[in-house]
Amino acid sequence: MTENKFVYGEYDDEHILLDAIRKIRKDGTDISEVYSPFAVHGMEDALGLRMTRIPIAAFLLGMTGGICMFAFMAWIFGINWPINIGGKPFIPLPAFVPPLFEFTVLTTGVSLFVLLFHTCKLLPSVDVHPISTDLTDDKFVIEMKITKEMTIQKIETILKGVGANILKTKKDKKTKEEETKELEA
Amino acid sequence: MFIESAIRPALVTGKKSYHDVTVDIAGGVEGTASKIWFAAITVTLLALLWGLYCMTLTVWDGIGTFGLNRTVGWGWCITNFVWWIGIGHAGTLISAVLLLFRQRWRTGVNRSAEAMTIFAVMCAGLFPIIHMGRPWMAFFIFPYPNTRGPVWPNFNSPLFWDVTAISTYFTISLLFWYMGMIPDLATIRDRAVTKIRRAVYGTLAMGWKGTARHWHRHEIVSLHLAGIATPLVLSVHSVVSFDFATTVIPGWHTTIFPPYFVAGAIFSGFAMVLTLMLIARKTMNLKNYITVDHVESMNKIIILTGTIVGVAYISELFTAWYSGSFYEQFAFTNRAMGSYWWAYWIMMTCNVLSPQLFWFKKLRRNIGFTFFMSIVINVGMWFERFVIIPLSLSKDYLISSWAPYQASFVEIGIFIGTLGLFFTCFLLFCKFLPVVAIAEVKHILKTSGDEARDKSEKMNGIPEGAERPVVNN
Repeated sequence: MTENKFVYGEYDDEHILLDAIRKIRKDGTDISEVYSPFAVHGMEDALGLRMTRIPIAAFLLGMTGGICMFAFMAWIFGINWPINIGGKPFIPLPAFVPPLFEFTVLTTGVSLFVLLFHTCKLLPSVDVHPISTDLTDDKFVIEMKITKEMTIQKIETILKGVGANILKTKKDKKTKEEETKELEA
Repeated sequence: MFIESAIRPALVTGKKSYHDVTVDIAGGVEGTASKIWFAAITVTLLALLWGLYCMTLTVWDGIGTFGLNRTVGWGWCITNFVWWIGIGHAGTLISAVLLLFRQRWRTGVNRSAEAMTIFAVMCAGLFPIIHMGRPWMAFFIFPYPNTRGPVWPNFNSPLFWDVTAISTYFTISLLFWYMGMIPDLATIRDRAVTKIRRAVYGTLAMGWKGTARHWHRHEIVSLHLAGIATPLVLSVHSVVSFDFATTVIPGWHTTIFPPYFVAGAIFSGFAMVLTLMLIARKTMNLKNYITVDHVESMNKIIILTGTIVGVAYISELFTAWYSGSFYEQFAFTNRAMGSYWWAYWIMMTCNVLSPQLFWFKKLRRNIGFTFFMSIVINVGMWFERFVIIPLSLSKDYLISSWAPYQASFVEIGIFIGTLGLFFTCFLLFCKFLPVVAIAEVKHILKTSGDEARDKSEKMNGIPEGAERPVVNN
């Protein structure tokens, strides 16, 4: 079970969470993961995340798409089936601009999307949360890995020191009664 | 920390906590649908069925069922095509352009505006396919190796450009919409109490965990998709306008068409967003998320784009006169004073005069009036396309070939059918998917919610409970 490998510290507020992350990392302690219900600005700096290279890859793929589209049109109009339209060039560059642009945008956009799925390893699955289903609702969680040097007690002291609520057991989805009560409220 | 001026209105009211936001929006998906919803979807499904019947007639009997003739080859179908494509533009503008401009008010309306884009583009895409008469051969428009030569599409043709533009637009809008929705689908997945719901939303949410890395990449990809969607949205309606601008028909052959079409598209799109949002706001109880300030912001964009459209109409008239071309001048005299003069004046009243009323703050912030105006603008923008398309065609260069145009019940039926399709899709969206971007609203809650505003008022020494000073916001 994951509970044995990690210790989880829970927060209610993103600003307290960010401060806590900064404090923990200041001592050179590693944080293995942080979960939040929405994008917290400043998180990547606090955690020292590297800038993703998805945009660079998507740019290159988009350029490749554009070049392929141009080559395809030029091959068709220039080599495979040249048509003389009022003595105009066989490869009319201005007329190629709209399809070229659209296809470049299409390949770039699809690449961005596919790369996001690939790098985040997004696949259909139902039970994904390590500790609590509140992580997509209103709770923020710091996850720290247990190692030989970093024992459970040590991590818990660190997390408690920065105001976290230590999660011991897995909090699963609310019971049906709670749910209906909430809806009624 | 991001600090906003205390005088800016709160974007989320009702003193919501993060959990309240989840309950308010995900609760709409989890509860059973109201009677109004069932009544509405019955009506829209009937409209859709009627449209399907008319589409079947067209395919079975041929384009002869339309009111088109040798002179007027494009009628209602192409009018509707341009109208629907235009409506789609507001969604991309809200989701992409306003994201790049860091307009925080977009979070309340972006999700449903993007959904509207997708449904509108679906409706638009139907028309050229139906208009082909033999829709089963629609794949001929794509360049693929074939045994007929091979015969390739003409890359010089704006009609081919249109195919590339609209298919790209649809794909990118769909990806953008879906990607933005993944975190919210995960929220619904984690709240699900039934097995089926958990499985369905679990599949749709693609195992989203909300880790810092996920969010970081998600933000970067959203921003870059917005960056490419912005020129894309401008290109789509420009390319649609090329369908007309590259021809030799007087009234069509003008260089003003691309910007004029794009402005008109955003204008009509915002009107449709308002129509849908004001209904959703009322029936789904989203008043705390779509506030009067949101409505006002949209109305301001309507004034801007409506004025651009107005200037474009007047420039067209001026250019026709200044060109000295008899045919060009006749085209415009015919529009304003010919047999379809009423269409021209409906267009002028609805699109040029009526949005100017929004200069009055009281009217801009009046929900009922805004709803009425949104319908007026939609009607006006439909007439704009009608005036451009069949009117220019019906009286061309040769008097001997002049012909009147009257839409047949089949054409009208297909239009009603697409309205049915659009609203059916939108109702299904409202019931089964999160209508407001939950994660994005939570993101701005601490800076733009009303509690944050109260705090910042206190910091600025404004007494509690005092009316927010109204500055020209």
